[in-house]
Amino acid sequence: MSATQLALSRTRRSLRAVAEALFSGAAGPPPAERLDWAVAEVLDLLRHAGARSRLLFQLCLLLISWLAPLWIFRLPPLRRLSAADRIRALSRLEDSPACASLVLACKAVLCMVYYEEEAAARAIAAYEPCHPERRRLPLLTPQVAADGPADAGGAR
Amino acid sequence: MTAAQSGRELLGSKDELTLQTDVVVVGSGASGAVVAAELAEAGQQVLILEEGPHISPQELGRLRPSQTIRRAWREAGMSFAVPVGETPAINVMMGRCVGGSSVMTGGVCFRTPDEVLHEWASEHGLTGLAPDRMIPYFEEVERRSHVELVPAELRSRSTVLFAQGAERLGYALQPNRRNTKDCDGCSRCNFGCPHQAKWSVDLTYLPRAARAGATLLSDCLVERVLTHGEQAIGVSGRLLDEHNQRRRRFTVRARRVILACGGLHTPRLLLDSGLGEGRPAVGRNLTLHPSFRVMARFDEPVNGWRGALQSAHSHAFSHERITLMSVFVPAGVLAATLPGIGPAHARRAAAVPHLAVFGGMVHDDAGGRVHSRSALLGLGGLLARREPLVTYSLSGRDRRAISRLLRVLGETFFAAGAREVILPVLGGVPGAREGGITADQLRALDLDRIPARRLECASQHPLGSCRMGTTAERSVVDPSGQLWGLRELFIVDGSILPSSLGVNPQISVMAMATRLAWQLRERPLPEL
Repeated sequence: MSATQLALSRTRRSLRAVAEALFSGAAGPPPAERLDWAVAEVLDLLRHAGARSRLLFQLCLLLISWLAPLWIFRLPPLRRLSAADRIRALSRLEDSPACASLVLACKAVLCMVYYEEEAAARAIAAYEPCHPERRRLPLLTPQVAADGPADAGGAR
Repeated sequence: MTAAQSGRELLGSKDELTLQTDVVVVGSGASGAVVAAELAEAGQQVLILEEGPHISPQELGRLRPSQTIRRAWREAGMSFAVPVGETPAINVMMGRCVGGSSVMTGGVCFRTPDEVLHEWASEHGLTGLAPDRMIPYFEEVERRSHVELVPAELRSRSTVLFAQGAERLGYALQPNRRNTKDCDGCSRCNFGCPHQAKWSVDLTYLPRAARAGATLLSDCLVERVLTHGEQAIGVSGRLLDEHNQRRRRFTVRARRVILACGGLHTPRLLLDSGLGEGRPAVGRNLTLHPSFRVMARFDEPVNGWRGALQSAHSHAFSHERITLMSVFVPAGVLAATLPGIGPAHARRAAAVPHLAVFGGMVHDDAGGRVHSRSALLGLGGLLARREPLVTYSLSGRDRRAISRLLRVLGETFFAAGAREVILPVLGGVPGAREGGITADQLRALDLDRIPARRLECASQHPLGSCRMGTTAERSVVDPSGQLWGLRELFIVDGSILPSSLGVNPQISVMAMATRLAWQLRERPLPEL
């Protein structure tokens, strides 16, 4: 396994552990497939983010994994803790002014993706699909350029 | 090549691609598109090079917000300015696609405020930018971009509530002007309008340029400006594959080079090309309009995503260097900013429909800098390999303006009947319960004492890093937009604005580009 694959695998495991804790409700964690989907989506987003942002996010995740357990007097890494302990550890880390930004960075990316899934969005009453097919055509294509549609004062 | 083509389609050969044109425009955003259209219509042969991909409106409509962020936002929305001193880390969002940031804005259109134009004319010696002389350019871009007032019925409930609070406190919101037509307020502007209701330049100026014979090549990264003696003669770079990896080399020989890569990447390109030498102002004087938003919880459902994303603003506090601006963010991101993990998160996320949001920006001092990769050592240089390293230092008066902004936003929401407000402070503020504070707690809170590095801050307006002026010592380009000391290299984007605007810059950038383009079309092209 190459260093890149190893790092990716570690990121996936750490993200999954954070996601399971973050999105657990009173009835327990959400369906595993929804978590797997969210983690895969975040990894894809990181792939598009470029090396620097990816590296910083991975560093952030690494710090969370190793610092959060210490907040509740447990040994790292975070993923080895029970779900209940992970929730406690991450909550403490989030309340700490010094480390809150680490949690927010991770939480922001996970939440943005997670709540795009229909069932998750419905759970917070925020599911309102757009209807993108109802309007016009794309304009910047070779055919359009050749045909010359409406004047660009109007452009359509 | 056809009128609009992706560099990916030209990856079949490994040989260097060589092209020749009258004018090469680097960047297809708000300024590059304007200049390309104007010059192509004047009969010049124009080639536009764009680093990002072309995404059609239909495709934008099919993408979820996070997918758009991956495809069309630079660094998937994770770019940031490194804080220096008592300053927050600032998330700087920029478009990276055909049409640039114009595809990703809320469409808000302000003319450059008269007092700013007066300052440019009197303090920077740019008399051609005096208010009365800029009017024709503003009128031109507003006509071409269909700038209209946002009707009251498109305001979200979030904005309506804030407006009620403002009225009770004795100030008013004014409707925004936006470059839209037939907008029905689905609040997706920041992820590209799926309905073609926002008239971004990929729908207006770029088709105009194409009809006049201009060619656009996307997925094409310019790495260097080529020079011969004291004249620019073209650019070189690499075509990008679907994973944004640099592939086939290309060179464009041009009689005139026009840079329109924006406030961070234009200085980066100059510095990487060795053109920062002897030009001390390159990359300096960067302004960002640091922006903040405050959330408020109401008893009634707000569902703030229903309605125009940015429908109203207030200049009531502009004397304190603050502009208030309506805004909303995706429900998932709102949920992320509420404190809590596990069941606590689920409980608070369920309250997202009850949250209202309003924002504001600071008319900032020039505290930012874009650094040269070669000037950075070790890890810094490595981290700036593809994207520029940007630092930002908040001035004392900017810090005070932020405190004032947060207080005004919070008080206005309480005047509108909010139960609690949630300030953008990492780790929460002292005494906050579940992230929120009461009106009494806000009154008692000394916002100046909150460390600035704990504030959540964003920016969409990097400007001024290659500013225009009358001397080479204090500016990067002369009043015609030409780089000091190098013929035929012009900069036309937001980086040339001499100072911060205090308002959304789209129309200012396009008007400046129009002005320069109208001058350039009269200026004879040199021999190649």
